[in-house]
Amino acid sequence: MTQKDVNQLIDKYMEGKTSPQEERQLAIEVNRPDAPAEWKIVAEMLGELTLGEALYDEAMAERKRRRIRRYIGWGVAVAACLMLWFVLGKLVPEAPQQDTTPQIAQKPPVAKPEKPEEKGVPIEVTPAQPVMEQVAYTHPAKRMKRKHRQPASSVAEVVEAVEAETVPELPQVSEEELAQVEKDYQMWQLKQAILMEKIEMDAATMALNKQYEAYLEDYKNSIEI
Amino acid sequence: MDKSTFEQTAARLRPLILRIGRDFFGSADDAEDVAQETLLQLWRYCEQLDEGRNVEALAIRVAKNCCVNLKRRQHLTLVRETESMGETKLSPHLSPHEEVEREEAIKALDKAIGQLQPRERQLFEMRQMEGLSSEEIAQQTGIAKASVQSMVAMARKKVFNEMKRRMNL
Repeated sequence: MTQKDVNQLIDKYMEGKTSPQEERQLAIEVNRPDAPAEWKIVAEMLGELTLGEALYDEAMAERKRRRIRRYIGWGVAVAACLMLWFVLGKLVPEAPQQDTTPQIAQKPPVAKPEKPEEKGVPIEVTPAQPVMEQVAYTHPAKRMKRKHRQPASSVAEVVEAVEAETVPELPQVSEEELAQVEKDYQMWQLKQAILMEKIEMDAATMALNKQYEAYLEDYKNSIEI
Repeated sequence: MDKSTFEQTAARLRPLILRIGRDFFGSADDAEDVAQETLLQLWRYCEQLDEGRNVEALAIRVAKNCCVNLKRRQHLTLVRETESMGETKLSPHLSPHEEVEREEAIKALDKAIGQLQPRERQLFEMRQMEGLSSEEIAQQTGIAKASVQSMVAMARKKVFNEMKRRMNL
């Protein structure tokens, strides 16, 4: 408050029109060490109780203001943390979710008929054991080298990788050609069997020849002796 | 108010004073000190208290004043606290010269109040001691608010001029 404001408040006080709150404010102003002498008279008239009450109320109001400032500070800190968390959540891409849980066929709630055979209602069979997801393969996948393989993160990615592989289509073969190939294969098998028999017979012949030569050698030795 | 009546009044006022002390200090021990000092000051003043006066309002003002004085005595430097609060610079301790001036001012005030008319004196003290507003005084005394204001104004001007004369200002 300026000196003019204090003087106006003193005039109001002397006219008896001040409120108790204005008198408490005036008590603080006129009790300053650098207050004029006339203000000292007003200070005494206001009394020590008014000054004490003014200081008490001001101290309590200041504590309330400090508490509010502290709450505001905490609120700002919490808001900043939430905003940081939100911004970081947007910037960092989400990691692929690892499907670690075994895929178990959930048994749907089916209303079980009392005697389905009699009523002719087809029974819906649900597997009791855990089953993997059914995947429709068009062609068997070409086996890749281990070093070229990449770790699959989920079943769905494996299916996508298999479907993405390009497998060369086989040439169209007629039934006659297939029959000819079959016939040639059978002939080849027959030749192989004959060859194996011939080899076995040669081996037997050689063994007999060796046995005969050994016998003949023993006979010659016995004669010489 | 006689001593026996005051004892009953003190028992009624004690919880209120303790609450004021707890709000200010935040401790039960300091609140107990405030209650004891407040009731002691009211005890000294009780013979001057009229039956119809608002003792509760006076007790609240005295209790708040005791809180501030106790804080001064605890060397929690009222100046630092009030400066940080409202940039007010109050001197918590007076020099001997200032103490003498202060005592003279209080004597001059007592004599100036003593020269007032009884009605003027009553209204002046109700404003000064109990801190009541003009509306509250009007309700308690049955006098119109405008009349209360004019009588209080007249009493204050008389006291001011008398003090100015006695203090040679």
